[in-house]
Amino acid sequence: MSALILFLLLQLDPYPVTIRQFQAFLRDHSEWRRSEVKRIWADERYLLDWTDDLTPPAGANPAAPVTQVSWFAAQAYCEIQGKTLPTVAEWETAAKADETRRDATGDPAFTARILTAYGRPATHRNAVGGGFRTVDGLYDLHGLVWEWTLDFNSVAPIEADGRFCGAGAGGSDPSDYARFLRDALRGSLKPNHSVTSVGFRCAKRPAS
Amino acid sequence: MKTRHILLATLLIGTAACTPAGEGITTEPELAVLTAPPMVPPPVGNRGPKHLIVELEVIEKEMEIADGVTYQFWTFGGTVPGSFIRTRVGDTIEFRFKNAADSKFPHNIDLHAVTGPGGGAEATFAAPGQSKTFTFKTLNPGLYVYHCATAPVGMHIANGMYGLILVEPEGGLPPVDREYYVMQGDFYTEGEFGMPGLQPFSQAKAIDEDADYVLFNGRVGALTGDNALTAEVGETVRLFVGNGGPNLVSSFHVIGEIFDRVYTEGGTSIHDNVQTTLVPAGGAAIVEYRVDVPGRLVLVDHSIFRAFNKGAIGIMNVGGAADTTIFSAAHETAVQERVHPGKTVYDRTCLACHGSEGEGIAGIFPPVAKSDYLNADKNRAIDAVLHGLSGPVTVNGIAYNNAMPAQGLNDQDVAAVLTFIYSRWDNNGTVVTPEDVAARRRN
Ligand code: HEC
Ligand SMILES: [Cu+2]
Repeated sequence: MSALILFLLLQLDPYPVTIRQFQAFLRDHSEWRRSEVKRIWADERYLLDWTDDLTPPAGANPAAPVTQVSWFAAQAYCEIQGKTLPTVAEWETAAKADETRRDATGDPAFTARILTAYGRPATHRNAVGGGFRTVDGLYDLHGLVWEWTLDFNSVAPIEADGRFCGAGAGGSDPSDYARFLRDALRGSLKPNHSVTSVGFRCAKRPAS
Repeated sequence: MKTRHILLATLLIGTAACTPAGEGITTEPELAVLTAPPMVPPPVGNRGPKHLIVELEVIEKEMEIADGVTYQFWTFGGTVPGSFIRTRVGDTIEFRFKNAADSKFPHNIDLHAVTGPGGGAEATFAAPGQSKTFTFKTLNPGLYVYHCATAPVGMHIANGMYGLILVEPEGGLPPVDREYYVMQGDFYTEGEFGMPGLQPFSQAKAIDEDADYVLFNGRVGALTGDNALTAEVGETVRLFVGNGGPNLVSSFHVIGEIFDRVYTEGGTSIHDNVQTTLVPAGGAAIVEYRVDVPGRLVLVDHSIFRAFNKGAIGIMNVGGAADTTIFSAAHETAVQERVHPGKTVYDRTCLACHGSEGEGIAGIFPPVAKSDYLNADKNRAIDAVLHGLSGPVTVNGIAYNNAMPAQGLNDQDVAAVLTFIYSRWDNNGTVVTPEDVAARRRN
C-alpha cells in the first residue's frame, strides 16, 4: 500500500497530549512519576519543572502540551490508550498539509510560515489548538512543540560537517529548511531525553 | 515492546566516548577566561602549555539588531559574535559544551582550531538541555573561527552562531597597548533594513545572498556612539577581526589608518602596510596599527554600500595631542564643528535626489527647501524618511507621483537630518528629536 493510503487509514490525535491528560496518566501509573521512573527510561530532566510528582509547573496552563517527557514515557502513554506514537513517515505526511492542501511543501510561503513559527521562543507554554487546522483536522503540527515519533532515531546520523546525508533525511528537499530542523532535532535525541520543547501526540493504527 | 529494545540498544552503543589526556602538562586544569565582544581575555604571555577548561553555553535569545528592531539570535555565550576564547599552542583544551535547557533547537560547535573530525561537531552535537565534553590539543597557532555546524548549517550561522578562538604562539603575540574583538556577519530578515519589530529569518533571502544587514558585532551601532572603540595617540592597536558570514566576504578597512601589520587570514605570515584586507566567510585576520593622530577612525566593510546602507560601520575615537607634521586638521576640524551633524547625513543620503540646496528636480524629486509639505507636519516628514513615501503628493502647489525608498537610518540620524533641513533653506526651524522618531517608528 502506498504511504498516503496507509496514512489515510491512520488516526492521528488532533492535538498533542496536554499537561492535564498526562497528569491523569501519572495518577494511575505511578511507575512514570518523576520520583519513581528509572533513569534508563527518563533522564534527570524528566518533568523537571513540575512542582512534585503530580503537580504541574507553577503557573502552567493545564491545556498546554506536556513536555519534558522521554520517548519511553510518551510511548507508554500511547500504548495504554491502545495507541502508539506515529512513525516519522506518518508524522511528516501529516505535517505537509495546510488548511486547504494535503501537500503544501512545494510552496515557499508555507516553509517560510513554518520557519517563522519555529522561531518564536517558549511556545510550549501555549495551550493546544492555537495553531492552524490542517485539511485532515490536525492542529499544532508546527510551532507549538516538537513531537516524538516512534522511529525518530532512524534519521541518518549527522555527517562530520553537520549535514545530513540527503537520502537519510527522508529524501527531503534541500530547500525544505523546516524538515531539516526537525530531522536535526530528531538526530540529537536519545530516547530517555526529556526536553522542554518536545511533546508528543498518539495515533491509532487500524487493526491488522 | 519490541521497538523499545531496538531503541535501547542504540542508546547504549551511542554513549561510548573517550578522549586522551594531554601529555607533558603538569599544571592543574584551569578554567579559561572568556570575554564578550569587543573585549578579549588577557594575553598568554610567557606561560607554558596548560590544561584549560572552556565552558561555553548555547543560548537562544531575542535581542535588538537595530534600534526598534529585534531578532531571535542563536548565540555562543549570549552574544553575537560568541565569547572570545584565548589559548596557547600546545594547550590541552577540555571543551565543555552545553545547550541551554530552554533552547528549541539542537546545536554543536566546529572550531577551526581543532585538528580532528568535524572540529568537534559530532562530539558536541547536543539536544536542548544536554551537555557534551571533548578534548583537543591546539597544534597550530593562529586566529580561528568557530561556528555551529548543525543542519541546516547556513541557518544556524545566519542566526549568529560564530565566534573566534585565538591560539597564541610560544611566547605569545608581541605586546600591544589595546586589543579588540570585531566580527562581521550578514543577516537576512523578512522585513527590510530598519523595519521595526521582531523580524524573522528569511530563508529565501539567505539563499539569494541578499543581506538586509551586514554588521560588526551583531547589531547596528555595536561599535558607534557610546559603544565606539577608543585608543590614545601613540598606542598600538590590535584588532582580532573575524567574519562569520554566512555568505559575504569582507573588505575590511579602517578609514584614516593604514594597517602596519596584517596576519593575513589569521595565519603566521605578516603583510606590512596594508590598506584593506580580505576576510573570508569562516575566516579571520589580525590587524595592527599605531595611531599617530587624534580623531575618529571609521571601521568599514569597504564593499561600501554595506557600510552606509546595511550597518557595517564602527568608530574608534582616538584621543591625545595632534601632530600637524603628520596631519594638519586645524582648518577642517574648525569647519566641522560648525557643520550641523545632520548635514553629513543629508549629503550622504538625501542629496542625490533632493539636491545640494534642497531644490529637488522638477516633476521627479520634490524640493525640501521652503517646502510647505515639510513645514506643515513633522510626523509626516519623519514617516517619509522612516518608511518611504510613494503615490501622489503636492509640494508647493506642484504634484508629484513618484516613490522615495525607506532610508534605513537610525533614530539619531533621522532626527539630525530633519532638524538640519528644517533649519535651512527658509524652512520653519522645527526641531526633531530622536524620541520623536522612536515614537513614529513604533506606529
Ligand atoms: C532615491 C531618491 C530619494 C532619496 C535618496 C530621498 N528622497 Fe525624499 N523624496 C523622494 C521622492 C521621489 C519624494 C516624493 C514621493 C512621492 O511622489 O510620493 C520624496 C519626498 C520627500 C519628502 C516630502 C515632500 C517634500 O519635498 O517635502 C521629504 C520631507 C523627503 N523626501 C525627505 C528626504 C530626506 C530627509 C531624505 C534623506 C534622508 C530623502 N528624502 C531621501 C526621493 C528621495
Ligand atoms: Cu546551532
